[in-house]
Amino acid sequence: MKTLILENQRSYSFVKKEAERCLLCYDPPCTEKCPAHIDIPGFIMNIRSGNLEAAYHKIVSANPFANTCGYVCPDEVLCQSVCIRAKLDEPIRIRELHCFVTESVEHLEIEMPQKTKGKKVAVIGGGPAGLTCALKLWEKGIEVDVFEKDKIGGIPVVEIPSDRLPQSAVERDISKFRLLGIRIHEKTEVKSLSELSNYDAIVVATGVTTRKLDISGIDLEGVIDPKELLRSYKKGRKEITGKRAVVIGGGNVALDAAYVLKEMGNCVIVTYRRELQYAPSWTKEKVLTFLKGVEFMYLVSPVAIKGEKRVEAVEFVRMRLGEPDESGRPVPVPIEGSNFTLSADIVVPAIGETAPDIFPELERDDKGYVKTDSSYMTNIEGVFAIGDITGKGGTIVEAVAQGKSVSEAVINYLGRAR
Amino acid sequence: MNNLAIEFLGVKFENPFVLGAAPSTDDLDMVRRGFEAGWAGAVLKTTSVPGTKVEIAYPMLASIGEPGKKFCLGNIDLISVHHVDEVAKRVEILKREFPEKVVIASIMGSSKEEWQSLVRILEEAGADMIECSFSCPQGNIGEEPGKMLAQSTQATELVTSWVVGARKKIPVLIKITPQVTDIVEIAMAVKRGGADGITASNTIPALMGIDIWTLKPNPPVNGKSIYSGLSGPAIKPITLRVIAEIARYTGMPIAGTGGAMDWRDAVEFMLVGAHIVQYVTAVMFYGFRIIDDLVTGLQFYIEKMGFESPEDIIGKSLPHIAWSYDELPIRKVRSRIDLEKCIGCGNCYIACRDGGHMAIEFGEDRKPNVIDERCVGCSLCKEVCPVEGCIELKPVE
Repeated sequence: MKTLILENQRSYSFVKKEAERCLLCYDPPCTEKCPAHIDIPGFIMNIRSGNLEAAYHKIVSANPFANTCGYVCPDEVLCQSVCIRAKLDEPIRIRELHCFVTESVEHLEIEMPQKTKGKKVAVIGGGPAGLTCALKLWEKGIEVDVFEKDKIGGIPVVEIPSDRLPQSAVERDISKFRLLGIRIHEKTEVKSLSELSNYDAIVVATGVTTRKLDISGIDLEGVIDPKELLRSYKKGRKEITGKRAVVIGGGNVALDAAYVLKEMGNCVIVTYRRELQYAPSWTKEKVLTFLKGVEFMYLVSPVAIKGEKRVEAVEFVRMRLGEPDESGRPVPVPIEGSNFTLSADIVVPAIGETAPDIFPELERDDKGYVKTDSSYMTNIEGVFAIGDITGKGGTIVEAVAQGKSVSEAVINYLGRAR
Repeated sequence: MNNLAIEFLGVKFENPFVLGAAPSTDDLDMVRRGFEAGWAGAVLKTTSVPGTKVEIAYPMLASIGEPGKKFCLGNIDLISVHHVDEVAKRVEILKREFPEKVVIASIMGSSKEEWQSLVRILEEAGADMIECSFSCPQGNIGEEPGKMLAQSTQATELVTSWVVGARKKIPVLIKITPQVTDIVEIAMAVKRGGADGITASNTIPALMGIDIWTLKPNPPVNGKSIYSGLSGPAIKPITLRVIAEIARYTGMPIAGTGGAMDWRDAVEFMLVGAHIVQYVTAVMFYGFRIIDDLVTGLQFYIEKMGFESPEDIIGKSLPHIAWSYDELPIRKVRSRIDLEKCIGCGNCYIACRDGGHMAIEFGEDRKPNVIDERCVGCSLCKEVCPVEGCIELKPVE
């Protein structure tokens, strides 16, 4: 989909025009809606006067993953969705203005924090939530160690296809963390919380794994985990080609998986058990995937994956829409006797995510996510959890927001503990 | 279709729209195309006697505003590089080819002999009218460098009388500057000098801006610049005031110019006393083609308002301009916000809080509420409201 500002014409005067449409609302709903609470009218006012450095400072101090979010924020459901200008004509293209700023301004001087307070915090997981938390703690003079089993950056670095998110943008966000006094331990997996007993607090921000589709044939050769697929695509591995690929699920991960399979030269069909309008993915993602040439099949649910050793076909049953469930979406109900099979070489079950099976001492909710109280503390004192592992992650900017909030909770806790 | 013909100083114009003295009228082919497009007349760019040195610095223009949406234009242009011998030829050709169009010759001299010879040559050539530039911001009157003729009542009256003394019968217009302490004094001097009408008014001396990164002013002429003549929408309110004052205090026929961009501006100029309206900046920005909208727009207006001809609207708004502040029929008004139309941006709240009388509350529901006891009815809320017709100032008992 064309983006007005970034693809058509990235000249300042063009951007300024869009910035001048902003009504600079009092008590702005956009800022309220932004999980990171970026001062949107503030940075737009800076854009208008050509004060891009100040705009950059406003954006980045509120959101350390600003360069990334400039590309991947789902503006349709966040800031732009509540823009008051929409009542007059069209909402302000806030994300694109944001992106113009982060793309235009080169670097920001890092302010070194006050003297250390003699407290030490361990952050497990170097994704947007963990790193933001680490940064905010470090800014307050707390010693921080980040343990990341792969490389820091999380989803934006290892999974989101570069077609959607230029690697240079993520790099700008990530590189600053390496310049700070935060101790980053990459390729370091924390197996047990007891390894970290010498820290004053622990923040668990490990992220999630793909939820396993529980049907026969799921272990056949040719069934690929969407996260693995995205990770290997991101590493430049594009060997899967010329295949018939079936993606199961309608979320953003499913659509990303479909997108990269198509990009690699496969015949791709996305199957979803409701209608597309109910699929939990952004409209923009849906349109992009559709325009890419991916086919869609709705109201179908997989029953079994067929094949001797390798995947040969997927058996589906047709669905109809029933009464709405608690999410407000109609429950898909199988239509008896409507089974059919679809030939396939590759199956990618992307039906959602689940918390990884780690740290058994942490209490879980009925969906398997780590349970926390309102200040992000788990059942164990001094151990906090945020992001996808708590089931409250979602978008990058939401992870960032939780990283900010948990840092405050940790600081409060450390103050009390003293 | 209403007939837009109008008579001004005894000369018949097919409509009140005339090309003002500018680059647009400094070339025979351009004027031809202007006439063909439908303009009623043209003031040819100001000419001078042979031998007058005219060396124009380029670039001569600078503007302010968005691309495609400038709100003013500034120029450091001078009079035409073509002297009167050449311009007289053009007058003859244009009158031969377009006998129905009004050809006005604009002149500037530096002595009695020059002024008078210019008038004689151009009247002889067949010009319908003479316009004397007493107000080119870049010109001067010799003995007082930098000062425009029309900034001195004495010089204005004297030179006017020279010009009038030299013409046989063609009407004489004096083009004045708004840049004076009292425009009425100058207009009275023009009247005493015997001119038939006034062209009100010229561009306004201005500094178009400084490039804050190079510290150099605009337009940049090899590192230096000079004060420009400001034109375009930004100066329209000044022109309106000047026309109104002259019309009211002198009763002289007026050619309005300075900031008219569309037919509505012409209507406004005429409502305060202009008879015809000259366009320059609008033509430079959008071309001769704007005449179509000017003509049809004015026709629409006259018909809608129930007038018979453009002459009916001249000076119609003058009685509504108070002679003094004391004469204003003051009454209490209060801001009334239509909450159905309100989009909840809160701009009225911020404006009233920080620039008004702290008379607006802003609720949790994002709806503003006017506190009547605090509201004086200043209208700032209405000025900042982005929704048309959402806020009105209504009289209170």
